[in-house]
Amino acid sequence: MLKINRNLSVAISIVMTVIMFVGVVILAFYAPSYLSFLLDEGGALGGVTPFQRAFVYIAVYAVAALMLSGLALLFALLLLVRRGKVFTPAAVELIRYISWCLILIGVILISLTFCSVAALFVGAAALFVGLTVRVVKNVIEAAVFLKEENDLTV
Amino acid sequence: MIIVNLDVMMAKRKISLGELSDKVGITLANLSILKNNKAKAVRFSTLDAICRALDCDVSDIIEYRKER
Repeated sequence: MLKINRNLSVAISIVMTVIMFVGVVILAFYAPSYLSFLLDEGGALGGVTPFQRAFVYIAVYAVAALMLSGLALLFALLLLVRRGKVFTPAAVELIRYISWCLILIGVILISLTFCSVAALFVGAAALFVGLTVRVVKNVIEAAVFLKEENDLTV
Repeated sequence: MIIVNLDVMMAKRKISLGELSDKVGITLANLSILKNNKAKAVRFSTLDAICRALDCDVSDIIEYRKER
């Protein structure tokens, strides 16, 4: 099996995070054009009221903002990993915020079910991932406690 | 609460943290944690080595004080 150096692996994750950040920014920039294409009469999600249309726009931008915040948090977490400070309260706090970002993205996407059933599934998936990240946070929190106790045992 | 009186005992024996660290065989950083009451646990082997180095009893180093 191909073995990747630990530092290289972290560097790859950092690069991927930056690429995704740029991708989300580009997608958010072009959101009005593809949303109007989808929401116009005859479009895939056509036939929505002006209120629903405004709601879709706000929801999409809220999801984009949450994704960008989540990616920025991931970047900060990766920097901690690179410095060997994974099992610290700061890392736990970052993971907690990431899980909240994912849970909020899930809730917002589920609220878009009225215009597409696909949003329900994607939202449920985001919610599940958010919950998983939260459990990982709980595990790391316990590890931080154990590490601190071990470090302070003389 | 548990109070560590290592600094008092060290002053009585006129021994520095560095010297004690050499005699006991634990790092200066760990000894400092113990001296500053930051330790969460102490191994019996550490207590044994400190008592031997300072020629004292465990109660000279560690003391229990009721919290008010």
